[in-house]
Amino acid sequence: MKQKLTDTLRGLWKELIRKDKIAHRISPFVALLLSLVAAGLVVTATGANALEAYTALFKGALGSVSSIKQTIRYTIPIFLLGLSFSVCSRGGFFAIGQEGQMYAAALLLVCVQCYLPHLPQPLMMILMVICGIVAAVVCALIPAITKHYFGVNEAMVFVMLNYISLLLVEYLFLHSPLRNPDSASYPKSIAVAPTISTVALYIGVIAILILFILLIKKSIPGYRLRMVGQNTAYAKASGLPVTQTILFSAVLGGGLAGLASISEVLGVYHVVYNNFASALGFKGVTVALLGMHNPLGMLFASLLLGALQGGSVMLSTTTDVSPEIVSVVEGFIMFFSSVNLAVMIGRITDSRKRRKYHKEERAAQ
Amino acid sequence: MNITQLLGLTVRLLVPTLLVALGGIFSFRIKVFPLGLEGYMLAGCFLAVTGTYLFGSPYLGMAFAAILVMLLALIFAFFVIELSVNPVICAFAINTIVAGMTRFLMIPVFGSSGRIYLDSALALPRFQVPIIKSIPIVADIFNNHSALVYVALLLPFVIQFVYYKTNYGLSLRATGAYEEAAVAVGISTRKVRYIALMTTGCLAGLGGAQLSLTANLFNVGMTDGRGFTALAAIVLSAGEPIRAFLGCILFGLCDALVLNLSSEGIPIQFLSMLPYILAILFAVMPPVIRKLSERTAFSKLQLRIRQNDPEILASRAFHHSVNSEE
Repeated sequence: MKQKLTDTLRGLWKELIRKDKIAHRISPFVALLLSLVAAGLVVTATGANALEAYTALFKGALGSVSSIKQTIRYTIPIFLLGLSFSVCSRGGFFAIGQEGQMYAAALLLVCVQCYLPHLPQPLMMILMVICGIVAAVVCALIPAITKHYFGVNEAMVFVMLNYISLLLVEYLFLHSPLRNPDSASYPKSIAVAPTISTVALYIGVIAILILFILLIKKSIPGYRLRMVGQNTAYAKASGLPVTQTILFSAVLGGGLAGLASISEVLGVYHVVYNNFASALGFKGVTVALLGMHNPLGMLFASLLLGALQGGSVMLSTTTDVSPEIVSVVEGFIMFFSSVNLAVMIGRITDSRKRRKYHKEERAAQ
Repeated sequence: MNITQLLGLTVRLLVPTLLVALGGIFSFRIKVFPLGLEGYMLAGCFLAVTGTYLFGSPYLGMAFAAILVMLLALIFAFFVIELSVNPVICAFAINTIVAGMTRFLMIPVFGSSGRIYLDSALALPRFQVPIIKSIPIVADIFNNHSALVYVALLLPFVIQFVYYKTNYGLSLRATGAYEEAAVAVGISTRKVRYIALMTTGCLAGLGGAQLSLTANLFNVGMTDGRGFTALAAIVLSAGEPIRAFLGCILFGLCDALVLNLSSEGIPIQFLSMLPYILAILFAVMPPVIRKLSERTAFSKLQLRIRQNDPEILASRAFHHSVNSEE
């Protein structure tokens, strides 16, 4: 019994430090460290104390119960967007249009509030959730279809759709019945009544996390998704429905982005501003990269980004470092975590081997 | 505001976008989608104002911006070429970093946040061009601009020449079209790629510099999607410099109209949307048309087979006989 246990443990340890895997595993931590150092250098170069700034950030994020609540409030949409990006990239396309999808979803929520204001609250809530998801899904399907059927670069279409939906929202919140009568010049919508309580939001996110893990790891569509994402040609040859799978991933990604929008509007703001999602746009990408597309990894990554966001308030009150440093840190995290350490080390050893081979060749001659 | 004033404004507004778009074409040609243009442009704006502020001359500021943004592009190129990072992610990371950095560095560098005005003595000098000055309508449109405007208006033709008449242009097109073949004929594709990506940075930085120095100010987020408008122009042109020039003229006109109409309370959002809508349409239409025409050709062929078209039957019989002889 004891022997068996030690054997399993040894096996686990060996698996953990496998030479080809270890670089892969530590690369997010290296990326995080590098980006903190890089942002720290920027802070130091401007004559402030970087350590002090990081301490203030940490205290602001996790120092008290209210700040932890604040951190979790920022974490939720970021996490959902991370899942959304991750599921789409499993399907093999690059969903950077979550911002536009969130605007589309929010727009439809406001439409429901505006044109059906007398519905009973629960019915209205359900209708809103459905409408929000549908709007985001439609926005996600356009690039998926144009990419899959016509080979158009999806990143470009997503970026353009982001701007189109942003401008559409700006127009509608200035010149239509959706406009808030109190705000004359600033684009803002009418108040949205139904409310999701914080507890319900937490439970919902945990449920989504569990469903997501089950879907990706244990279900048939999840398996298909993984196969199509890793090797489309092979999946096609084995008779998998490639088109459906890719469109399915787009629908799932759009739905998650719609949920993020719903959680923001119904859970936090209860009103839609024209740029409420602009800061969130690429955080989903960062989360998916830093969490290496692993659901739990992404949870930690989004907690980290949420903590950065939550801590930035403390930064501006206690130190003279401007809270904008947070977005610099985020940018650096995205930048460094896009490098896969395993690939890099593989390249270096490859070139070393090649050089050695050439040397031997020359010596033999 | 009359038409000639509007066109003069158009010329002024189209130049930053044009420079950025021409830079982006170099990346587009080697199949690296230039999504980092927005970040490069914003960095160019900020660095040009900083350089002008530090060195006391707008031209030095411009050079400062162009060189530093080129270095930024070099980092991007290193990540994409050597570390095989996904260029889309890397580009957006650069956009995020630049947006954050420009906000963050405002206070340490200029001591104010949000917006910084340069001293009017540091404004870009404007030129009276000898011949153009004396022609009545043309003078209103093309006279009294800064130096880079005239350079930028000639640049599409220069770049057209570079693409189609020089060795580098040929290598660039070969690398983009079929990299293995380019390697096989002895082109150093790595060098070609580095030069292309760095030229993108340099020109985009200049475009940003032009944007901020013409207005003589920097404010946070001042590019406001212009980098992506340039990207739209590139998509419209499918990588042809002169067509990109035409696209930029259209978008510049839209921009000028937006500036004019917004003060009159007319909704201008749809006009600002135009570049993005056109970009999607122009990206999607050619493959759709190709696919549809392929489909109709195919169905026509099938129809002829079904109707026992004598020509088809004859060719089938011919192929059959050839095959059976073997």
